[in-house]
Amino acid sequence: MTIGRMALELARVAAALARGLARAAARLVRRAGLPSVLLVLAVVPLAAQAPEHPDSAASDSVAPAVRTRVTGYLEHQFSASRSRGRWTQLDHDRLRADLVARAGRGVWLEAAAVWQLYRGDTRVRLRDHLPASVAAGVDTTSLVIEDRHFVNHAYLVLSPGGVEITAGKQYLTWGAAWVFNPTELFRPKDLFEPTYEREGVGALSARLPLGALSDVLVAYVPDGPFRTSGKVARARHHVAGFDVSALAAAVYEQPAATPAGAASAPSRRLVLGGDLSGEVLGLGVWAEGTWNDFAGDRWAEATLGGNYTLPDRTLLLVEGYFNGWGRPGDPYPAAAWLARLAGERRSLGRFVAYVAANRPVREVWRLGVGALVNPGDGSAALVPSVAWEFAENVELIANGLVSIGADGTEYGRGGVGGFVRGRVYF
Amino acid sequence: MTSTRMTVGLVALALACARAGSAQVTAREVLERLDANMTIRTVRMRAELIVHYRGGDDRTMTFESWERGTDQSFLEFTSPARDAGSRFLRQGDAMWIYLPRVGKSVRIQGHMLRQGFMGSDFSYGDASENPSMANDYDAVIERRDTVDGRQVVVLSLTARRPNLSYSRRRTWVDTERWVPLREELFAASGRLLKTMTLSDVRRLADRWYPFRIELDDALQTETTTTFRVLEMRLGVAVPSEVFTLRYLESGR
Repeated sequence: MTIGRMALELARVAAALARGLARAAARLVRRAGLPSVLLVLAVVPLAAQAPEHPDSAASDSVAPAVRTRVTGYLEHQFSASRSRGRWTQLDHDRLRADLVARAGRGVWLEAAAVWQLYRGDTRVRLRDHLPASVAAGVDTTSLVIEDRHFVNHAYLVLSPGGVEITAGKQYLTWGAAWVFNPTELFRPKDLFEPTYEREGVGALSARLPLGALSDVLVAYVPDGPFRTSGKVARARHHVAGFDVSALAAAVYEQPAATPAGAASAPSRRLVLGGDLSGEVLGLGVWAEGTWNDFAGDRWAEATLGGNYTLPDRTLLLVEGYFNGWGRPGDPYPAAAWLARLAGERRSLGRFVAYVAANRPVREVWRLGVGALVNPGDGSAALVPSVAWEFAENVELIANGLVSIGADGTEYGRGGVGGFVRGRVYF
Repeated sequence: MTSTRMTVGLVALALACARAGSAQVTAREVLERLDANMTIRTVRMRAELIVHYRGGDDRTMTFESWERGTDQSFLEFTSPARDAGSRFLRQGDAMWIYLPRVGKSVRIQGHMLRQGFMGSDFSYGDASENPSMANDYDAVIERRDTVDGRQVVVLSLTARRPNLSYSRRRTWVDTERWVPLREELFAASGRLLKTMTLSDVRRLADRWYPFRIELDDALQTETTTTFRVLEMRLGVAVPSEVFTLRYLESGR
């Protein structure tokens, strides 16, 4: 895509946003009446003009510099995998543009647009990702990976009276664990690349700071009618050297599709949980857990982990994950496979361990290896990786994937594969 | 050098009163003078971190930082594009990093503090630890010497508590300006871990500051790192909310 087309695309997005705002304003006027709207419009500029830092009046320049910043990157990735005796390839270009802008004192805008273009085997057969015993009964329809143009996040932040209100597609990501985050409700991590970026969530949230390291956040995540929209409350505190948080949420999820493809109505999932991170005997440790109630099922999830750095700067990570929803071993039911494939559940097994080692090697290289292990069915996935900081704003990453285990086990059917990714930042 | 007296541990290194009269000072008095002079109420700084690779390549990162007292620091990288928007918060011994493209803050804890700070020879531990030299180390004067033509006293320091990053230090302190000009940092085993050289000492108000620090990590043999202050202001008003998790995650 050329710069000109990018500009055109941005202009179209801006125009669509403007039309959306105009429609929303019209709806607001119809529902709330003009006086209420005028009141809101009057308050926003007042909030915007209020000093952000009453105790910094002596010097406006002492606060971190306020600026409009445009950054981004261009990424190219080639991936290939072999499963069930068949090689597939998938190639993508991804262009991301990030914007941070101050609209006035106490009013901020952050947004990022992503264009992602795919080539190669874009038709994915679901049965290739399921064990033979399950695939036989699954709809043979293929999933087509299409080019995507989307807003990764776009939100407005207002800070009236100490409360921070964020409206729009925003980051609602939580959890102290490295890979398995039971408290992550909306955008689960890619277990094979847990540090890869994730999309925001359309929401309205308010955060009330209660000291430097404590706050309370409430978020409303519109999804269908009010009844089925997500509601989340989270509080966090720093005490005795530990970061501690508690979370309560009600989100609506589609129960896992049946093998026949029958859809069912969304059901409420209640989640109570929290996390903790800190240091014990010099080791970095973390714990995270939830209790869940969903469509008649009740289960707990918990993660416990720690890290250790050897004198040569090799970083070791270990994490154990308990999933009360999972099974002690294979075979796993078809619905479980589909739920996991859809990213609704983090594991099929009841216990999964993650171990990883990572170290810098020769200037700008970094070598790593991670492993997901399901001791219940004896399967594992090995993920070796090499990262090369090719230049100041250029990085190359190569990741592999080797599956170990029999067909029908959690990680045993992935075959072998990997990707090479180059990214240039601007 | 009191290496961790830098913004987010990287800056504001040891300094001392401009007053001289050092000939008869004891080792403890030297440490007390260093500590006394490093107790800066607030500082704002713009600086760069340059990682030099043995192959001849350099990586330059620029950041802005704010510090209040000895326990609160906030730092934001402004370049290169790859790192712009990455932010760090330190409150006491606790440290967090905010990753802008993930939209999440992460606690840096335990042994992860030994990892290189943004790939440099400085570790996160260097950045988060802020010992009181007089309280945390016992010192003896090894000898008197000269460094770059300046009179120095060479101190041998031994940690008083076990959880400090460096169990032993050897520090060359300029006895006229009370600025450390060189420091060697050791593990408990006696192994040399890092060597630091401080230069470009400038006077700010009634203090002397090293504006340039060269760091060589003996275990990270492929690199050396230069820390260079581009701009420094003392006594600025820094709002309390800068040193909060909310600020770390929003940058405003």
